[in-house]
Amino acid sequence: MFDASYILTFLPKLLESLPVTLGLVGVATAAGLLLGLLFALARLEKLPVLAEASTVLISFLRGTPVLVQMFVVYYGLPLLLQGIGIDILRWDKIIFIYITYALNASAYFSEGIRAAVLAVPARQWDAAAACGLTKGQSYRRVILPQALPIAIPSLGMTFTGLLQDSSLAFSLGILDVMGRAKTLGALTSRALEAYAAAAVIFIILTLLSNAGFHTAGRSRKRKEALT
Amino acid sequence: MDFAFLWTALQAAAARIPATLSLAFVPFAAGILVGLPTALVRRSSLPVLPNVLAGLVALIKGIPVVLMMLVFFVLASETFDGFMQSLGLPWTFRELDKSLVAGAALTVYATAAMCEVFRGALAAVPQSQYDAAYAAGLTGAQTLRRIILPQMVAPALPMTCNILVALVKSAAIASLVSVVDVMNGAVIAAAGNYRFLEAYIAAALVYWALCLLIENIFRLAEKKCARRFAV
Repeated sequence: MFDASYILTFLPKLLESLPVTLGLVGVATAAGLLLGLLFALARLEKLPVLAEASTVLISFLRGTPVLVQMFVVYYGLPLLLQGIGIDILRWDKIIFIYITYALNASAYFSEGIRAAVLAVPARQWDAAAACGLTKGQSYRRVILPQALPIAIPSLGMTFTGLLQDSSLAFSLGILDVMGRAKTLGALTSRALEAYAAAAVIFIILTLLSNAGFHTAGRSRKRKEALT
Repeated sequence: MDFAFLWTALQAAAARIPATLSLAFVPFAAGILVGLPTALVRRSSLPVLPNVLAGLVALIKGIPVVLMMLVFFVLASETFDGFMQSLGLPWTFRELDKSLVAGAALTVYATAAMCEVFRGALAAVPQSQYDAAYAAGLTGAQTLRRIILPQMVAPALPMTCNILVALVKSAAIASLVSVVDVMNGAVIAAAGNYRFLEAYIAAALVYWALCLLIENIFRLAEKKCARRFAV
Protein backbone atom coordinates (compact mmCIF):
# COMPACT_ATOMS: atom_id res chain seq x y z
CA MET A 1 0.00 0.00 0.00
CA PHE A 2 1.76 3.10 1.24
CA ASP A 3 5.28 3.10 -0.14
CA ALA A 4 7.42 5.81 1.45
CA SER A 5 10.11 5.52 -1.23
CA TYR A 6 7.71 7.25 -3.64
CA ILE A 7 7.85 10.36 -1.47
CA LEU A 8 11.54 10.73 -2.34
CA THR A 9 10.88 10.35 -6.08
CA PHE A 10 7.99 12.83 -5.91
CA LEU A 11 9.79 15.50 -3.88
CA PRO A 12 12.10 16.77 -6.68
CA LYS A 13 9.12 16.93 -9.06
CA LEU A 14 7.06 18.92 -6.58
CA LEU A 15 10.01 21.22 -5.88
CA GLU A 16 9.94 22.18 -9.57
CA SER A 17 6.59 23.81 -8.78
CA LEU A 18 7.83 25.52 -5.64
CA PRO A 19 8.53 28.78 -7.57
CA VAL A 20 4.81 28.95 -8.44
CA THR A 21 3.79 28.64 -4.78
CA LEU A 22 6.49 31.06 -3.59
CA GLY A 23 5.71 33.51 -6.41
CA LEU A 24 2.04 33.46 -5.43
CA VAL A 25 2.84 34.05 -1.76
CA GLY A 26 5.46 36.68 -2.61
CA VAL A 27 3.25 38.73 -4.93
CA ALA A 28 0.30 38.49 -2.52
CA THR A 29 2.47 39.56 0.41
CA ALA A 30 4.01 42.56 -1.38
CA ALA A 31 0.74 43.79 -2.88
CA GLY A 32 -1.20 42.85 0.25
CA LEU A 33 1.12 44.85 2.51
CA LEU A 34 0.83 47.93 0.29
CA LEU A 35 -2.98 47.65 0.06
CA GLY A 36 -3.23 46.81 3.74
CA LEU A 37 -1.23 49.92 4.64
CA LEU A 38 -3.56 52.07 2.51
CA PHE A 39 -6.68 50.50 4.08
CA ALA A 40 -5.22 50.96 7.56
CA LEU A 41 -4.34 54.62 6.87
CA ALA A 42 -7.81 55.29 5.47
CA ARG A 43 -9.35 53.98 8.68
CA LEU A 44 -6.81 55.58 11.05
CA GLU A 45 -7.18 58.98 9.38
CA LYS A 46 -10.97 58.53 9.18
CA LEU A 47 -10.95 59.63 5.53
CA PRO A 48 -14.57 60.20 4.47
CA VAL A 49 -16.08 57.37 2.38
CA LEU A 50 -12.69 55.62 2.04
CA ALA A 51 -12.65 54.68 5.74
CA GLU A 52 -16.14 53.18 5.60
CA ALA A 53 -15.41 51.43 2.30
CA SER A 54 -12.23 49.93 3.79
CA THR A 55 -14.10 48.73 6.87
CA VAL A 56 -16.74 46.94 4.80
CA LEU A 57 -14.21 45.46 2.38
CA ILE A 58 -12.01 44.18 5.22
CA SER A 59 -15.01 42.66 6.97
CA PHE A 60 -16.06 40.91 3.75
CA LEU A 61 -12.57 39.61 3.01
CA ARG A 62 -12.17 38.30 6.55
CA GLY A 63 -15.67 36.85 6.72
CA THR A 64 -15.70 34.77 3.53
CA PRO A 65 -13.62 31.74 2.48
CA VAL A 66 -10.70 32.52 0.18
CA LEU A 67 -11.97 29.70 -2.05
CA VAL A 68 -15.20 31.62 -2.67
CA GLN A 69 -13.30 34.90 -3.11
CA MET A 70 -11.17 33.25 -5.78
CA PHE A 71 -14.20 32.35 -7.89
CA VAL A 72 -15.89 35.71 -7.31
CA VAL A 73 -12.75 37.45 -8.63
CA TYR A 74 -12.38 34.97 -11.49
CA TYR A 75 -15.96 35.35 -12.73
CA GLY A 76 -16.63 38.88 -11.51
CA LEU A 77 -13.56 40.93 -12.43
CA PRO A 78 -13.81 40.40 -16.23
CA LEU A 79 -17.47 41.42 -16.06
CA LEU A 80 -16.67 44.48 -13.94
CA LEU A 81 -13.85 45.63 -16.25
CA GLN A 82 -15.88 44.89 -19.37
CA GLY A 83 -18.24 47.56 -18.13
CA ILE A 84 -15.49 50.15 -18.53
CA GLY A 85 -14.23 48.71 -21.81
CA ILE A 86 -11.27 46.61 -20.66
CA ASP A 87 -11.13 43.03 -21.92
CA ILE A 88 -9.30 40.69 -19.55
CA LEU A 89 -10.95 37.38 -20.46
CA ARG A 90 -7.68 36.27 -22.06
CA TRP A 91 -5.62 36.96 -18.96
CA ASP A 92 -3.60 34.16 -17.46
CA LYS A 93 -5.48 32.50 -14.59
CA ILE A 94 -2.59 33.13 -12.22
CA ILE A 95 -3.31 36.89 -12.37
CA PHE A 96 -6.76 36.32 -10.87
CA ILE A 97 -5.11 34.21 -8.19
CA TYR A 98 -2.60 37.00 -7.45
CA ILE A 99 -5.43 39.53 -7.15
CA THR A 100 -7.50 37.25 -4.88
CA TYR A 101 -4.69 36.44 -2.49
CA ALA A 102 -3.38 40.02 -2.44
CA LEU A 103 -6.85 41.29 -1.50
CA ASN A 104 -7.37 38.52 1.05
CA ALA A 105 -4.01 39.12 2.71
CA SER A 106 -4.45 42.91 2.63
CA ALA A 107 -7.44 42.62 4.98
CA TYR A 108 -5.42 40.76 7.62
CA PHE A 109 -2.31 42.91 7.08
CA SER A 110 -4.43 46.05 7.42
CA GLU A 111 -5.84 44.92 10.78
CA GLY A 112 -2.34 44.08 12.02
CA ILE A 113 -0.92 47.43 10.92
CA ARG A 114 -3.87 49.39 12.34
CA ALA A 115 -3.62 47.69 15.73
CA ALA A 116 0.14 48.27 15.84
CA VAL A 117 -0.17 51.99 14.97
CA LEU A 118 -2.85 52.39 17.67
CA ALA A 119 -0.50 50.68 20.13
CA VAL A 120 2.15 53.41 19.67
CA PRO A 121 1.67 55.84 22.59
CA ALA A 122 -0.17 59.08 21.71
CA ARG A 123 2.64 61.18 23.14
CA GLN A 124 4.82 60.08 20.21
CA TRP A 125 2.41 61.97 17.95
CA ASP A 126 2.63 65.02 20.23
CA ALA A 127 6.42 64.86 20.29
CA ALA A 128 6.57 64.60 16.50
CA ALA A 129 4.21 67.56 16.14
CA ALA A 130 6.25 69.55 18.64
CA CYS A 131 9.33 68.97 16.47
CA GLY A 132 7.43 70.50 13.58
CA LEU A 133 6.97 67.29 11.61
CA THR A 134 4.05 67.09 9.21
CA LYS A 135 1.57 64.22 9.43
CA GLY A 136 3.31 62.31 6.65
CA GLN A 137 6.73 62.83 8.22
CA SER A 138 5.42 61.73 11.62
CA TYR A 139 4.07 58.51 10.12
CA ARG A 140 7.24 57.79 8.16
CA ARG A 141 9.88 58.72 10.71
CA VAL A 142 8.25 58.28 14.11
CA ILE A 143 5.10 56.17 14.17
CA LEU A 144 5.55 53.44 11.54
CA PRO A 145 9.13 52.52 12.63
CA GLN A 146 7.76 51.96 16.16
CA ALA A 147 4.65 50.17 14.92
CA LEU A 148 6.60 47.67 12.81
CA PRO A 149 8.06 45.58 15.66
CA ILE A 150 4.63 45.49 17.33
CA ALA A 151 3.06 44.31 14.07
CA ILE A 152 5.61 41.57 13.28
CA PRO A 153 3.88 38.64 15.07
CA SER A 154 0.53 39.44 13.45
CA LEU A 155 2.13 39.94 10.02
CA GLY A 156 3.86 36.59 10.49
CA MET A 157 0.57 34.86 11.25
CA THR A 158 -0.99 36.34 8.12
CA PHE A 159 2.01 35.27 6.05
CA THR A 160 1.82 31.68 7.33
CA GLY A 161 -1.93 31.63 6.72
CA LEU A 162 -1.34 32.88 3.17
CA LEU A 163 1.17 30.10 2.59
CA GLN A 164 -1.37 27.51 3.73
CA ASP A 165 -4.22 29.07 1.75
CA SER A 166 -2.11 29.19 -1.42
CA SER A 167 -2.74 25.44 -1.62
CA LEU A 168 -6.29 26.20 -2.81
CA ALA A 169 -5.15 27.77 -6.08
CA PHE A 170 -5.16 24.33 -7.70
CA SER A 171 -8.97 24.43 -7.78
CA LEU A 172 -8.64 27.04 -10.53
CA GLY A 173 -6.11 24.82 -12.33
CA ILE A 174 -2.87 26.40 -11.10
CA LEU A 175 0.03 23.93 -11.00
CA ASP A 176 1.61 24.99 -7.72
CA VAL A 177 3.04 22.43 -5.29
CA MET A 178 -0.46 21.29 -4.37
CA GLY A 179 -1.74 21.18 -7.96
CA ARG A 180 1.34 19.27 -9.03
CA ALA A 181 0.84 16.77 -6.19
CA LYS A 182 -2.72 16.20 -7.29
CA THR A 183 -1.80 15.55 -10.95
CA LEU A 184 1.19 13.37 -9.95
CA GLY A 185 -1.04 11.35 -7.66
CA ALA A 186 -3.62 10.85 -10.40
CA LEU A 187 -0.98 9.95 -13.01
CA THR A 188 0.82 7.37 -10.89
CA SER A 189 -2.20 6.32 -8.77
CA ARG A 190 0.06 6.97 -5.78
CA ALA A 191 -2.03 9.83 -4.44
CA LEU A 192 -1.20 9.24 -0.78
CA GLU A 193 2.54 9.40 -1.38
CA ALA A 194 2.18 12.50 -3.56
CA TYR A 195 0.14 14.26 -0.85
CA ALA A 196 2.67 13.19 1.79
CA ALA A 197 5.46 14.74 -0.28
CA ALA A 198 3.45 17.97 -0.62
CA ALA A 199 2.81 17.93 3.13
CA VAL A 200 6.56 17.68 3.76
CA ILE A 201 7.15 20.79 1.64
CA PHE A 202 4.35 22.77 3.30
CA ILE A 203 5.46 21.76 6.80
CA ILE A 204 9.05 22.86 6.10
CA LEU A 205 7.90 26.16 4.56
CA THR A 206 5.62 26.83 7.56
CA LEU A 207 8.33 26.06 10.10
CA LEU A 208 10.79 28.29 8.20
CA SER A 209 8.29 31.14 8.07
CA ASN A 210 7.47 30.80 11.78
CA ALA A 211 11.16 30.72 12.70
CA GLY A 212 11.90 33.70 10.44
CA PHE A 213 9.23 35.91 11.97
CA HIS A 214 10.17 34.75 15.46
CA THR A 215 13.79 35.86 15.02
CA ALA A 216 12.68 39.06 13.27
CA GLY A 217 10.49 39.88 16.26
CA ARG A 218 13.26 39.09 18.72
CA SER A 219 16.03 41.04 16.98
CA ARG A 220 13.69 44.03 16.67
CA LYS A 221 12.99 43.89 20.38
CA ARG A 222 16.69 43.61 21.22
CA LYS A 223 17.48 46.58 18.99
CA GLU A 224 14.82 48.56 20.81
CA ALA A 225 16.19 47.60 24.21
CA LEU A 226 19.66 48.87 23.22
CA THR A 227 18.55 52.27 22.05
CA MET B 1 -25.87 40.45 -13.14
CA ASP B 2 -29.12 38.57 -12.72
CA PHE B 3 -30.60 39.65 -9.40
CA ALA B 4 -33.54 37.27 -9.60
CA PHE B 5 -31.14 34.35 -9.87
CA LEU B 6 -28.93 35.83 -7.12
CA TRP B 7 -31.96 35.54 -4.84
CA THR B 8 -32.56 31.93 -5.95
CA ALA B 9 -28.89 31.06 -5.36
CA LEU B 10 -29.02 32.81 -1.99
CA GLN B 11 -31.91 30.58 -0.94
CA ALA B 12 -30.12 27.47 -2.25
CA ALA B 13 -26.99 28.45 -0.29
CA ALA B 14 -28.92 29.30 2.87
CA ALA B 15 -30.64 25.90 2.73
CA ARG B 16 -27.21 24.31 3.26
CA ILE B 17 -26.31 26.38 6.34
CA PRO B 18 -26.92 23.34 8.61
CA ALA B 19 -24.38 21.32 6.60
CA THR B 20 -21.72 24.04 6.86
CA LEU B 21 -22.42 24.72 10.54
CA SER B 22 -22.22 21.05 11.51
CA LEU B 23 -18.97 20.78 9.52
CA ALA B 24 -17.63 23.64 11.65
CA PHE B 25 -19.21 23.02 15.06
CA VAL B 26 -18.71 19.25 15.44
CA PRO B 27 -14.93 19.53 14.83
CA PHE B 28 -14.94 22.65 17.04
CA ALA B 29 -16.55 20.75 19.93
CA ALA B 30 -14.22 17.79 19.43
CA GLY B 31 -11.31 20.23 19.28
CA ILE B 32 -12.25 21.65 22.68
CA LEU B 33 -12.73 18.19 24.22
CA VAL B 34 -9.38 16.86 22.98
CA GLY B 35 -7.47 20.14 22.87
CA LEU B 36 -7.91 20.97 26.56
CA PRO B 37 -6.41 17.73 27.95
CA THR B 38 -3.68 17.97 25.31
CA ALA B 39 -2.81 21.48 26.46
CA LEU B 40 -2.78 20.32 30.10
CA VAL B 41 -0.43 17.45 29.25
CA ARG B 42 1.82 19.83 27.33
CA ARG B 43 2.09 22.02 30.43
CA SER B 44 2.72 19.07 32.73
CA SER B 45 6.17 17.82 33.76
CA LEU B 46 5.62 14.35 32.26
CA PRO B 47 8.63 12.99 30.37
CA VAL B 48 8.73 13.05 26.55
CA LEU B 49 4.94 13.28 26.01
CA PRO B 50 4.70 17.11 26.08
CA ASN B 51 7.45 17.37 23.45
CA VAL B 52 5.80 14.75 21.25
CA LEU B 53 2.48 16.60 21.43
CA ALA B 54 4.17 19.94 20.72
CA GLY B 55 5.81 18.42 17.66
CA LEU B 56 2.54 16.91 16.52
CA VAL B 57 0.70 20.23 16.82
CA ALA B 58 3.46 21.99 14.85
CA LEU B 59 3.23 19.33 12.12
CA ILE B 60 -0.55 19.55 11.84
CA LYS B 61 -0.45 23.35 11.69
CA GLY B 62 2.02 23.06 8.82
CA ILE B 63 -0.33 21.01 6.64
CA PRO B 64 -2.92 22.95 4.61
CA VAL B 65 -6.52 21.97 5.44
CA VAL B 66 -7.25 20.97 1.84
CA LEU B 67 -4.28 18.61 1.83
CA MET B 68 -5.43 17.04 5.10
CA MET B 69 -8.92 16.58 3.66
CA LEU B 70 -7.64 14.95 0.46
CA VAL B 71 -5.39 12.61 2.45
CA PHE B 72 -8.35 11.55 4.61
CA PHE B 73 -10.43 11.12 1.48
CA VAL B 74 -7.88 8.86 -0.22
CA LEU B 75 -7.28 6.91 3.00
CA ALA B 76 -11.01 6.36 3.47
CA SER B 77 -11.55 5.36 -0.16
CA GLU B 78 -8.73 2.81 0.02
CA THR B 79 -9.39 1.27 3.40
CA PHE B 80 -13.05 1.82 4.28
CA ASP B 81 -14.54 -1.01 2.18
CA GLY B 82 -12.03 -3.62 3.31
CA PHE B 83 -12.36 -2.57 6.94
CA MET B 84 -16.15 -2.75 6.85
CA GLN B 85 -16.02 -6.12 5.10
CA SER B 86 -13.73 -7.52 7.77
CA LEU B 87 -16.24 -6.35 10.37
CA GLY B 88 -19.04 -7.95 8.39
CA LEU B 89 -20.86 -4.63 7.95
CA PRO B 90 -22.64 -3.81 4.68
CA TRP B 91 -21.47 -0.15 4.46
CA THR B 92 -19.39 0.96 1.47
CA PHE B 93 -17.35 4.07 0.78
CA ARG B 94 -19.62 4.99 -2.12
CA GLU B 95 -22.57 5.34 0.22
CA LEU B 96 -20.54 6.91 3.00
CA ASP B 97 -21.53 10.48 3.83
CA LYS B 98 -18.43 12.34 2.61
CA SER B 99 -18.99 15.12 5.13
CA LEU B 100 -17.84 12.61 7.79
CA VAL B 101 -14.48 12.37 6.03
CA ALA B 102 -14.20 16.15 5.67
CA GLY B 103 -15.30 16.55 9.29
CA ALA B 104 -12.61 14.13 10.47
CA ALA B 105 -9.92 16.19 8.71
CA LEU B 106 -11.31 19.42 10.16
CA THR B 107 -11.34 17.81 13.63
CA VAL B 108 -7.61 17.14 13.47
CA TYR B 109 -7.04 20.76 12.50
CA ALA B 110 -9.44 22.09 15.18
CA THR B 111 -7.80 19.98 17.89
CA ALA B 112 -4.33 21.34 17.12
CA ALA B 113 -5.65 24.91 16.97
CA MET B 114 -7.65 24.66 20.21
CA CYS B 115 -4.69 23.06 21.95
CA GLU B 116 -2.66 26.17 21.13
CA VAL B 117 -5.46 28.41 22.40
CA PHE B 118 -5.72 26.59 25.71
CA ARG B 119 -1.94 26.59 26.07
CA GLY B 120 -1.95 30.37 25.74
CA ALA B 121 -4.87 30.72 28.15
CA LEU B 122 -3.16 28.44 30.70
CA ALA B 123 -0.04 30.58 30.51
CA ALA B 124 -2.20 33.67 31.19
CA VAL B 125 -3.19 32.37 34.67
CA PRO B 126 -0.45 33.45 37.09
CA GLN B 127 1.43 30.87 39.18
CA SER B 128 0.21 32.60 42.35
CA GLN B 129 -3.29 31.22 41.65
CA TYR B 130 -1.96 27.66 41.87
CA ASP B 131 -0.10 28.52 45.08
CA ALA B 132 -3.20 30.08 46.65
CA ALA B 133 -5.34 27.06 45.73
CA TYR B 134 -2.71 24.74 47.18
CA ALA B 135 -2.58 26.83 50.36
CA ALA B 136 -6.38 26.63 50.63
CA GLY B 137 -6.05 22.84 50.61
CA LEU B 138 -7.61 22.16 47.20
CA THR B 139 -6.64 19.01 45.33
CA GLY B 140 -5.18 19.21 41.84
CA ALA B 141 -8.52 18.46 40.17
CA GLN B 142 -10.37 20.98 42.36
CA THR B 143 -7.76 23.66 41.57
CA LEU B 144 -8.22 23.04 37.87
CA ARG B 145 -12.01 23.04 37.96
CA ARG B 146 -12.68 25.86 40.40
CA ILE B 147 -9.68 28.18 40.05
CA ILE B 148 -7.82 27.71 36.79
CA LEU B 149 -10.47 26.85 34.18
CA PRO B 150 -12.80 29.77 35.04
CA GLN B 151 -9.88 32.17 34.69
CA MET B 152 -8.93 30.69 31.31
CA VAL B 153 -12.24 31.59 29.68
CA ALA B 154 -11.61 35.32 29.23
CA PRO B 155 -8.12 35.07 27.70
CA ALA B 156 -9.21 32.17 25.47
CA LEU B 157 -12.29 33.86 23.96
CA PRO B 158 -10.74 36.08 21.23
CA MET B 159 -8.61 33.32 19.71
CA THR B 160 -11.45 30.80 20.06
CA CYS B 161 -13.62 33.13 18.00
CA ASN B 162 -10.90 33.36 15.32
CA ILE B 163 -10.68 29.58 15.14
CA LEU B 164 -14.43 29.06 14.91
CA VAL B 165 -14.62 31.61 12.09
CA ALA B 166 -11.65 29.91 10.40
CA LEU B 167 -13.46 26.56 10.72
CA VAL B 168 -16.65 27.91 9.12
CA LYS B 169 -14.54 29.22 6.24
CA SER B 170 -12.47 26.03 6.01
CA ALA B 171 -15.70 24.03 5.83
CA ALA B 172 -16.06 25.48 2.31
CA ILE B 173 -13.07 23.37 1.30
CA ALA B 174 -15.27 20.30 1.85
CA SER B 175 -17.09 21.33 -1.31
CA LEU B 176 -13.95 20.21 -3.19
CA VAL B 177 -14.53 16.64 -1.96
CA SER B 178 -18.16 16.65 -3.15
CA VAL B 179 -19.82 17.60 0.15
CA VAL B 180 -22.94 19.69 -0.48
CA ASP B 181 -22.43 22.67 1.84
CA VAL B 182 -23.27 26.38 1.43
CA MET B 183 -20.77 26.76 -1.42
CA ASN B 184 -21.79 23.65 -3.35
CA GLY B 185 -25.47 24.35 -2.69
CA ALA B 186 -25.12 27.68 -4.51
CA VAL B 187 -22.99 26.24 -7.33
CA ILE B 188 -25.41 23.38 -7.96
CA ALA B 189 -28.21 25.93 -8.34
CA ALA B 190 -26.18 27.53 -11.14
CA ALA B 191 -25.46 24.25 -12.95
CA GLY B 192 -28.42 24.76 -15.31
CA ASN B 193 -27.77 28.35 -16.39
CA TYR B 194 -24.01 28.83 -15.84
CA ARG B 195 -24.60 31.94 -13.72
CA PHE B 196 -21.66 31.05 -11.49
CA LEU B 197 -20.81 34.63 -10.50
CA GLU B 198 -24.22 35.06 -8.87
CA ALA B 199 -23.84 31.66 -7.21
CA TYR B 200 -20.46 32.48 -5.69
CA ILE B 201 -21.62 35.92 -4.58
CA ALA B 202 -24.61 34.27 -2.90
CA ALA B 203 -22.34 31.79 -1.13
CA ALA B 204 -20.02 34.63 -0.06
CA LEU B 205 -22.95 36.59 1.41
CA VAL B 206 -24.10 33.58 3.43
CA TYR B 207 -20.59 32.96 4.80
CA TRP B 208 -20.21 36.66 5.60
CA ALA B 209 -23.47 36.67 7.56
CA LEU B 210 -22.47 33.52 9.48
CA CYS B 211 -19.04 34.90 10.39
CA LEU B 212 -20.43 38.28 11.48
CA LEU B 213 -22.99 36.49 13.64
CA ILE B 214 -20.32 34.37 15.34
CA GLU B 215 -18.08 37.41 15.86
CA ASN B 216 -20.90 39.38 17.46
CA ILE B 217 -21.87 36.52 19.78
CA PHE B 218 -18.27 36.26 20.94
CA ARG B 219 -18.04 40.04 21.36
CA LEU B 220 -21.06 39.87 23.68
CA ALA B 221 -19.50 36.98 25.59
CA GLU B 222 -16.24 38.89 25.95
CA LYS B 223 -18.09 41.91 27.33
CA LYS B 224 -19.96 39.73 29.80
CA CYS B 225 -16.72 38.08 30.88
CA ALA B 226 -14.96 41.41 31.32
CA ARG B 227 -17.80 42.72 33.49
CA ARG B 228 -17.85 39.59 35.61
CA PHE B 229 -14.14 39.62 36.30
CA ALA B 230 -13.80 43.39 36.70
CA VAL B 231 -13.07 44.08 40.35
